[in-house]
Amino acid sequence: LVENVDLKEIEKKAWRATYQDGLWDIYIGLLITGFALIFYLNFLGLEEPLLIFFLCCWMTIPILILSFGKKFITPKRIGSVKFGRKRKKTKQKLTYFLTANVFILLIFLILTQLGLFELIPLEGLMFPLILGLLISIPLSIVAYFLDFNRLYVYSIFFGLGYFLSELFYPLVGAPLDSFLSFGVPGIVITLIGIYFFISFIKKYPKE
Amino acid sequence: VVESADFLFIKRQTELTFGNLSAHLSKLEEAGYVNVEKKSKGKKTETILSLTKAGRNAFEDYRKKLASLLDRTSK
Repeated sequence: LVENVDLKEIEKKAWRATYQDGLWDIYIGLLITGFALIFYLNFLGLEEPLLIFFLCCWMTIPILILSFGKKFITPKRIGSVKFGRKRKKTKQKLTYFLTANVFILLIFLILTQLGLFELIPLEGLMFPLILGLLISIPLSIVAYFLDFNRLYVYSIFFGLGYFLSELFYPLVGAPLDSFLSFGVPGIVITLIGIYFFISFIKKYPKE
Repeated sequence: VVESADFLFIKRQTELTFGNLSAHLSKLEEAGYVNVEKKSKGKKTETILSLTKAGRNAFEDYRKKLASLLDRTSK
């Protein structure tokens, strides 16, 4: 009973309520599915500029869904809430943190392309595992600070994608390896998001 | 910390009816625990609510009293 009247807990509940609509799940799910599609198109022999163009087009879909939903669907059903300075500062710090991580990841990928990691004896699945950790760990930190528990699971799926792809390749070959490692988790996460979204729409009719 | 929320958000979180919540909020506003701000948004009026410092302190005080009461009854 005392926990129920704890203002901090109530405010945390209010924060978590913003994830009930499943829009972030759909966003992450489509993002991961996009990787599977890119690998598939690459397998079909699509040229690099076209692949980048397709990737950019695909990425706009989750961005549009998220921004449209958060602006026109969610507030009309559960109302809107503004969080204080502490949350805003945390969000700002996380943005810097994620930007820095994207840069680290890009440097890591550029160094890989340049073949610099060939000098370091990383055997077998070690390289995809390190790459996976470089994605999973920052995303897990984000999940912790955002108090978004489902993101822990998604970060593992996202991070392990490349590792699993390498693992599946000798067993099932391309493009099934990327479908199993990125496509399946991406579709599952999107479906989870759609489930949350439908539940949200049913639970909170428009007022 | 929640800075402010609109009427609909509070209604959804508390699961109270429109009339019930309105009555509660009027009393809380009178006591100086809640700030009520009306804003016009197109054709609709948006009600923005925020907890005052006195409201936050009163809530914390209530929680402490409740905790000590429960503590005493459990002994």
